[in-house]
Amino acid sequence: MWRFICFVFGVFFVTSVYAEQRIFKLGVIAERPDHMDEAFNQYIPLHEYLTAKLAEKNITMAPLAVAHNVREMANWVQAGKIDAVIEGVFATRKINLLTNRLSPSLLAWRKGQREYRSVFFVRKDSDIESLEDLAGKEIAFESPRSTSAYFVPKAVLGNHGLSLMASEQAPTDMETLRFQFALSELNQAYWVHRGKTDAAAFNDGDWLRVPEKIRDDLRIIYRTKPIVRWLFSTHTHFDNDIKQTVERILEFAHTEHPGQRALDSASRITKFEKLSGEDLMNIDYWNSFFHN
Amino acid sequence: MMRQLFQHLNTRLAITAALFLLLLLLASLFFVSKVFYESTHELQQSLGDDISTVYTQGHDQQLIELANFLSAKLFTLTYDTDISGLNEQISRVSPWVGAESIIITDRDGIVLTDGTTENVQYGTHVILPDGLHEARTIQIDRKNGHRQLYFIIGNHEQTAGYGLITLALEQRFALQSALNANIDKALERFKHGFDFFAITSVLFILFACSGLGFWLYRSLSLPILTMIKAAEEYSIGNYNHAVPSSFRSNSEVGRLASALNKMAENIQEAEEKIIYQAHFDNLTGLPNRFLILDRLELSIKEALRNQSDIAVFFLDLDGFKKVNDSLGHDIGDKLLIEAAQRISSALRKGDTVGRLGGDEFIVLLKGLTKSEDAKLSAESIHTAFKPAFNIDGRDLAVTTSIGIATYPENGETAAELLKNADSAMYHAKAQGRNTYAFFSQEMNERLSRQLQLEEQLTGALQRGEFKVVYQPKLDVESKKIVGAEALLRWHNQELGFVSPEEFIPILEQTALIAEVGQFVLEQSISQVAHWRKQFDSTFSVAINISPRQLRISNLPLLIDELLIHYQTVAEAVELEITEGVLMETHVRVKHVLNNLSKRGLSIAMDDFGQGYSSLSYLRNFPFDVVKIDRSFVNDITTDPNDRELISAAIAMAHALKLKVVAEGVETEEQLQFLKTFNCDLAQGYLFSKPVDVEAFNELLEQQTETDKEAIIA
Repeated sequence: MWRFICFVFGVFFVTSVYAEQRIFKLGVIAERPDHMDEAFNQYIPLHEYLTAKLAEKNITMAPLAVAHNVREMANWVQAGKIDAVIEGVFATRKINLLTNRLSPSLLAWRKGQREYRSVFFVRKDSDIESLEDLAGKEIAFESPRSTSAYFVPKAVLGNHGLSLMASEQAPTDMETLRFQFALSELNQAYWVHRGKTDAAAFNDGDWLRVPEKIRDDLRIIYRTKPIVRWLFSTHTHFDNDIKQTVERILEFAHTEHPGQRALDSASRITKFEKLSGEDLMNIDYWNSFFHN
Repeated sequence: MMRQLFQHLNTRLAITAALFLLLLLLASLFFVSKVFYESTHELQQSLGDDISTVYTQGHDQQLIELANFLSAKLFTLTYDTDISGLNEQISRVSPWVGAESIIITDRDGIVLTDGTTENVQYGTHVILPDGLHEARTIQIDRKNGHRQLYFIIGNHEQTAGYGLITLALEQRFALQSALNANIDKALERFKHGFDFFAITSVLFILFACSGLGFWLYRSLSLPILTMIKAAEEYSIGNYNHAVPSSFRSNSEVGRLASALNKMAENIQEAEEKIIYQAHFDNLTGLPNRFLILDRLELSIKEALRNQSDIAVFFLDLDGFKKVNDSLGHDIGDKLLIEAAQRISSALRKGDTVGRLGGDEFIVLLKGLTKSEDAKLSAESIHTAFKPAFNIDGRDLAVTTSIGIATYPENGETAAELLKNADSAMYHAKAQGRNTYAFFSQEMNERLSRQLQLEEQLTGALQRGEFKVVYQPKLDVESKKIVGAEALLRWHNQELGFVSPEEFIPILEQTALIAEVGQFVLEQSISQVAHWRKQFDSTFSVAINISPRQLRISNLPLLIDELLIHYQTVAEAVELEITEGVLMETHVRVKHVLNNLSKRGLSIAMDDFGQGYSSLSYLRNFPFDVVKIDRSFVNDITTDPNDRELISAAIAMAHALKLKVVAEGVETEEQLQFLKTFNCDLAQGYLFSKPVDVEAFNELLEQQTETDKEAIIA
């Protein structure tokens, strides 16, 4: 709780006292809004790393800003309280939808992945062969906040003409695809395995993390296009000089031990690299995909 | 130094006893400590168990509470099959309950998760204990040191699944080992105390054992040393040295001391007995040779001082050998005992009788004033022997021959006196037994002459000192030489010519008679063979055969060989034997004579008329010829009795178909008488003395020429 108070004071402090100074304000969104301290614990090593590195360039690192959700972050971006955000493709897109002030500049490898796909799977012995076969069945997503295990599959399913509805509200008919949240990728796999739901969808990286014993009984029926894993986006009004300094530091971080540690701690980032044109196209694809 | 110390019995005793006690006490110490350690160990175990039980009871309660907590906590997660959530809970709970594993199953007991990512137990079936629904939690201790806690997730109305927590009971062990360590420390302290106690005990034991050693020295070693001293005294003959009475207690040592004293007494008795046996004859109880010589020597010294005389008698029982041989040793021994008593009884008090061995006794007469005294004593002994000895119901007539030597006349030393008395005794025996003889120097001279003869006779044959001479035997009627008697002559370089009467008895006493006899036989037979070829085919030679020769088993064989060797016949040989030979009544003699007679040899009885002249001999033995002794022929012209005797003897011999030869014919007159009595043959100085072969050859040649002349005439 005291961390949160610090944060509030920190934000106030930054906005009033250091307005004219060369300052870099980093923001992240807590994965679990009920456990804000987890987010702090994750990002403090990176914050301290950047503080040290930027100090050499006479740039002051503002206290870390952790938002409860996308909307709060969008507000901070709108208000110009944040210079950069580290988030996924869809959260970044959402903030941009609301603010149009963020521009992705670096790609972050996360959990060993540069990019990922969402995979749909059923029990091996199931008669479900395609996404269309899911009509009238039940599917397990991870959580309402999950990109790969909720937003993306849900959008893909919608695109395939399936009507989705939360299980507790849905009627049991042959058209509606009911869904419920399993709260973890592992649960998703177990649920399908145990027949609690007919199918589930998640990141292909998670597929590999399913215990082999379980996985052997499961079968993938659909893979989405790849999605860039994680993004570092900057405020469109952010000082270009500072932006370039920060980007260089981040791109360099994985080459030295303290940087490596800081990145790993921050939601298991492997490294930062510049977005390629292809990456930007991929981002555009997914943006338009959701737009539809 | 040390080695010397150890050689003392008392030191060894003390050390041995000390070591023994030490070992005994150490063994006790060891046993006590073993019992103590074992009981302490048991205490340690039971103490640990007790504490463990207390601990476990608390732990059990905790676990029940944990199960209740988890039952509620995991309900939703299980119900929703939130395996991630369950894993998270498991990972949180595990460390603080110290669980080895936590397994969550569904309602059917099928494993949902074991809390690991791999979840290897997923899908397996857990066998739930009976009565779990009623009890809600059940704890089971497994043999491998694990405890398993089964519990229901949910409640009676709604069960979402089951939990199984496996706990390693390490904590309890840790507690126990800490406790054990404390107990070990306490034990270690005790051990140090115990070691101190043990060392103190050992020192005390050593001290006590030294005391014991001293006590053993006083009670055992010292008496033994005293007894060793006593034994050493006994070994040098001091049997009066007794072990002090202070050691003669009733203990073993005391009894040993008594036994030692007793032994000394026994040894003394035994020694006295041995001394007696060494000095006295076992059979008769008389002093033996050793003692009598000793007494004799003492008496000589005494006599020298007192200027008195001593007489030594050497006695020999006549015919004892015959009694002993024919009636046995028992009778012989009894006879000796009786004889010893008679000798003793015949003497004065103060005279000593001893037994030399066999049937030889010694009498020692002291303080004699004249030789008459000795003579009286000898006669007294003879008188004592007069009554027959009655032994085992037999009356035995036994006499004794006594030789007497006197000091200082017949010798000045004991050995000399004894030797001379012995010589006198032989003289007495030669005189015809049952008599006594005083020693004279002549006896010794005779004896030394005999020794000299014996000495020279040995090897005389090899030196060629013997010679055979022949005395012609003539036919009384025709006065022609028809035979010869072979006679042995000995000429020694030192002694000169020795008469046959002197040396033949000596030859007979020694084994020399056999080879000399053989020599005579060979010479005579070869000679007669020659004469029979040369002069007269009926010529014969007479050879004297001694009794001993007859007893030689190979005499007939020997004669056979010689006859064959010299190619002559048995008739050419006549063997002359004396009556004495026959008196011995030796079965063997008769057998040999018969044997010889059968071969054709002529057997002649020599010296007829000198001895018993028993006619039975002439009948019982295979005689062919009788030779009348020269003593009869000598007196034939002067003594009518002899003339009658010869006449009768010749008639009797002729009646028995024996030829008669007269010996010692010296005069024509004697020859005429013999001719009148029809005596067959004669030999004597009238015709020729015994001559050597050359002279005899001449005699024969003369006779041959005379014969030739007679024929021519």
